[in-house]
Amino acid sequence: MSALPETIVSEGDTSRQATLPLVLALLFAVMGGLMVLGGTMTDAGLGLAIPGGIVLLVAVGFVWGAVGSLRVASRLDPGVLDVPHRTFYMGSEVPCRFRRLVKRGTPQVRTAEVRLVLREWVRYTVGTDTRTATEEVQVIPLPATPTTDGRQVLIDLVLPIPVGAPTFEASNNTVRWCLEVDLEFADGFSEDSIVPLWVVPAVLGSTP
Amino acid sequence: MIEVHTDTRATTVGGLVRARVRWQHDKAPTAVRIELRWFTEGRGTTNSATVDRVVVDAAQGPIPPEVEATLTVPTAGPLTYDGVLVRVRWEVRATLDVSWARDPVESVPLVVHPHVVQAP
Repeated sequence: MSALPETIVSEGDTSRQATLPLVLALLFAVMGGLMVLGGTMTDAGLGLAIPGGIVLLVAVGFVWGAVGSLRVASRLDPGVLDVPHRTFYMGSEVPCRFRRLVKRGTPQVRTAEVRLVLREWVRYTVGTDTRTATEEVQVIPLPATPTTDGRQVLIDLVLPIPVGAPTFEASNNTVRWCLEVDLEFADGFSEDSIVPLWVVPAVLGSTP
Repeated sequence: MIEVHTDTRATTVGGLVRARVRWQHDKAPTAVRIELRWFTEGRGTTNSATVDRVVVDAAQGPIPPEVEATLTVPTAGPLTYDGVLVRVRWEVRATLDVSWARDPVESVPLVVHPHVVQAP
């Protein structure tokens, strides 16, 4: 494996993903609690208590989501990709190494699915609604043999960057490449990483 | 009336496009603008950007009936792209700024390809 001096971190640090659901859970819990309390103590009765109960159930849902994220964060660090450079030419084959630190539990991996994905994302308005749409335009499965050094899951890869679609990012339209790695550990725990890749509008040609 | 001609309909990122604009109007324009721009098409709300521009202003003297400009495509692109939800298009657009009248506009489409980098 050649030198891989640069590192790209996967998106969606799971410990940070827990903060928003916890805040929302707290807000919904307070709101739902007040509604239920108001329903039982005033003349509004079930007319206020039932919606309050629904709001409390939403709060429980947010807590469930946050607990799931914290469970992942306590077990794994975000995935990282060691690369020779942080931008990629179309038509190039890039040697790289995916790593994921296992803080708790077994680092033995039962299955690993790795794919290079080209995804389009758009934002548009219909009337007064703002909507988004996403499309997987190209999916390239990559052969992966996970190994471990006792603490990390390691996967050596060669990324075949196709010709035709470099990264394009604008406020309402994006075209992005990413490396997606789904790991299923020997004890059944599973988690995925999404590593964004910046592909420049240049093709790597062969030396004449 | 405004006419736009370019020396090419396809170029690469970092490439040059030479444009020639001929105009004719009852009123003398205050400026002629020649712009190189990209814009998106497709389901998403349009994004666009003008990446290079030449403006011939009447304040600098009478505007000749034929104006030439050399415009540069940035090395960062984007490329012309045909996706599922997103399409990226390029054009050279000329606008005649006319006081108290509709500004005539004309454009010529352009295809932008990637440039080739030799492997070390």
